[in-house]
Amino acid sequence: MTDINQDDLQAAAERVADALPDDSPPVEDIADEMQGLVEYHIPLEVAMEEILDEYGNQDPHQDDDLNGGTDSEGQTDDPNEPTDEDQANDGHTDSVGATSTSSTTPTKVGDLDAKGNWVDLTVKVVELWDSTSDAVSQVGLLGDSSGTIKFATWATSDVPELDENTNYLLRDVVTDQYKGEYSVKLNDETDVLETDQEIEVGLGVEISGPLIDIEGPSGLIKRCPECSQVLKDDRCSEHGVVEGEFDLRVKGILDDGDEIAKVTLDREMTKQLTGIGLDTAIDMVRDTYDREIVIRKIAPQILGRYYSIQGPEINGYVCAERIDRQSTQPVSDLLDRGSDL
Amino acid sequence: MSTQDRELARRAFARELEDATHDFEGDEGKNPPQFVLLPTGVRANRLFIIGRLVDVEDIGNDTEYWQARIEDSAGDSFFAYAGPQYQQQATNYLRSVSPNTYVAAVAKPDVYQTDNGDHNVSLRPERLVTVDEQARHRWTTEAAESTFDRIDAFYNNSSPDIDKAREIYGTSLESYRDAAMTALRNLQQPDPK
Repeated sequence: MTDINQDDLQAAAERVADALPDDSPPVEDIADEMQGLVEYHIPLEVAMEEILDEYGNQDPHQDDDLNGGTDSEGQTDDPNEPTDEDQANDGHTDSVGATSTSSTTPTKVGDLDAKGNWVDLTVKVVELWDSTSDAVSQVGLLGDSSGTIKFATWATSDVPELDENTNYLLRDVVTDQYKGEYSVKLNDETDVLETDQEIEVGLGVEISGPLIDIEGPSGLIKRCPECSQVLKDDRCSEHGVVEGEFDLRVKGILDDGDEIAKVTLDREMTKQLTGIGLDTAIDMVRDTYDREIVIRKIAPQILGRYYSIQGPEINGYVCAERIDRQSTQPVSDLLDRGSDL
Repeated sequence: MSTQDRELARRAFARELEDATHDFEGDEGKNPPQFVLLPTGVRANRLFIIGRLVDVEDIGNDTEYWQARIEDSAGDSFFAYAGPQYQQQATNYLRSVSPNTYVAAVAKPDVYQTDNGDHNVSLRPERLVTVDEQARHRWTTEAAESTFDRIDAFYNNSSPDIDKAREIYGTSLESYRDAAMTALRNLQQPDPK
């Protein structure tokens, strides 16, 4: 439990209640909700603003509640539904239903295993990518102790932009699934609250075994400057012929005899294992006019070795963030087992 | 190529592989994979082995064709063959490698009949690289464990491949256990290199 000075909290709740319209929830409810936020390491001032926003500014979904007379939780709404901002400012409110989720426990991204669920996440923004779709304003990777997950923000929704390497409590995001891979969507119902809670992003999956094959294109590659896709004959499948940017990577196959895993080593990991960095690779190719020389030099240094690899799994590949050579195994236990057979 | 389409690389000592005589075609899709049935009742489309390269020789007539004898930690030999057209990387490697090197091979097994009617198993390497003692040690313990697992399953479980292996090869698996035991004991000796 976080240390919260109850007097400060009570005083803050009273100030918020004073600033809100008369038909807002009672001060005790506001204090409860604020307590919930503060327990997620939301600074008190941010928690105050959040609650002011929540009850001080009417939102269109609550208008729907008023007009339709239903007791909607807001959570069954279509996340794609565009917001009608004009309805949002009549200053009237009576519902706490739509956003009173502060008592729910945040879900771990590693536990997400269904689509269409509304969840709260406490996450770090690991990476932001360029959106390739007009319908999506922001796309990237979120992480918590259990691993990472992709996120996307609908361009039509009124969600603040997330910053890289910043931690957030995201309330009411919707889970999605595409080709077996899970993601979350930020939508109009989503609350984005910056938090100073420490988040150590988990490394996702751990795999081990010998690296037995390398897939192309590996070695020195060129990426599209727009979208980072690997170019084929200087062509990006999205952006046509572009002036590519050099990068170094290895796509490998790990096979422990029971299971096969695909792994990607980025520039840093490749250098760590082989001593060949991007500049060296570019020099090699300039000296020989042979782009394949890089992977021919890399392959004999890593094939046939046993590795233990940790990293997030993205599009079926484990993106290595940590690699260790597997050490030798003790022989005596195996001899005992063999003798008993 | 997705990992679903890729066949596992099995671990087996040479003594078991050289007893394999039965090969067959898998039943999946347009390009069914070829398998060799191991006497312990597991099908192998691909093998991963590590051993010591003891002989390497160009046995080709008009074009080069390399034969490599790779000795596992039990002292039994795998035979790998590579030509420049289909095993380019392995051929390039065998041209320049010196014997007495630890090598790792990812290879497809082939059963063939010799002139006197015996069956032999040879390996077509997809990848052939030099590795260190640490990798050889790890492979040996892994191959021993995998062999013990297969023997366990052979005597305690049932599967179509196990049933077929019983029928074709019989039920005596001691020599494969012994090969694994010898290999493990040899790991405890000082490195012979």
